[in-house]
Amino acid sequence: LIETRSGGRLVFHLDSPYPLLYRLEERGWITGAWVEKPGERRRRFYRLTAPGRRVLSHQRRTWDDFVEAVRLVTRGEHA
Amino acid sequence: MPDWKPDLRARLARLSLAPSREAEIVEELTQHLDDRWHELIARGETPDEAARIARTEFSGARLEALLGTLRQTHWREIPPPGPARAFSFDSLLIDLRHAIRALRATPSFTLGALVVLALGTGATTAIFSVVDAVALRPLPFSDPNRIAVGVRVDAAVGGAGGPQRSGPAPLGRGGAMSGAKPPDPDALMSVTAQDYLDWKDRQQVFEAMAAVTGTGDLPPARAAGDYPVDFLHNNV
Repeated sequence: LIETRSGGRLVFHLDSPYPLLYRLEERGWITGAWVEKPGERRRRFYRLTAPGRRVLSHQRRTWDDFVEAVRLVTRGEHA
Repeated sequence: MPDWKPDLRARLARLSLAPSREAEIVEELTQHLDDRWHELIARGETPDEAARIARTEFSGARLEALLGTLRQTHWREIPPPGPARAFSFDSLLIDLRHAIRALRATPSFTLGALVVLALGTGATTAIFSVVDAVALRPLPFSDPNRIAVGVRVDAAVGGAGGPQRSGPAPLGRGGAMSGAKPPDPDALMSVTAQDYLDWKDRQQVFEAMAAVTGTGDLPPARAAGDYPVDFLHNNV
């Protein structure tokens, strides 16, 4: 999903996202649950918790501010 | 399809994961590698090449390093309880000091526990005092089981025998006539002072008799000295 949304610019392999998921789960920001479907192997799905949603919202604002600041700096010479 | 589990288990074995958690992680990562292998096959790679690429993308050392910082990788098996320690005053003192420190660290809890204990102890003491005085402690007389209460019973209401039958009945804790049937409370009648004096003069059963009057039962003009002293005034 990350690779698709980033147009192939961001590629994560096995060793990065899963430790990250487990860390977020330990912090209570996401919660994982095994889902079983007939004829398929059970799979683990993660969903955001209420605290996780608040953290994500805050992180998005921080990231937007950072990106905007970098944009202002890098394009300052044209202002 | 390659079997990824031995490699994954070897990596995770160095971390202190709970066995059930380790099995979950192995299962989840195996699914990811299976999906990646199928994806590569779908792109036209050979099975062996797909397995090689998937293994290349997966850095076991990096996975191990990242997982090693998680709390769940510090799991310790709880040892089974050992044999009970022998009693010693040293261990008692250590326990006491630990308890005092724990109580001082949580003053609100300590205060709440003390209030609950005080209320509970007070209530229990009050209830026991009443039960002791009313039910447990014997009457303040020698041979209390020989005490009987003389009453006058209205046979028309609930007493046995003829009308206004009089005599001792097993009332109160010291009731001696345990085999007799207690009179109906509605049938109890008051005993006049003259009746009592007659009973006392003529009875040959009791060692002594005394009368108890309720508040205000004696006419004020005669209460001072006209009655013998065995009329006990009950002001309760």
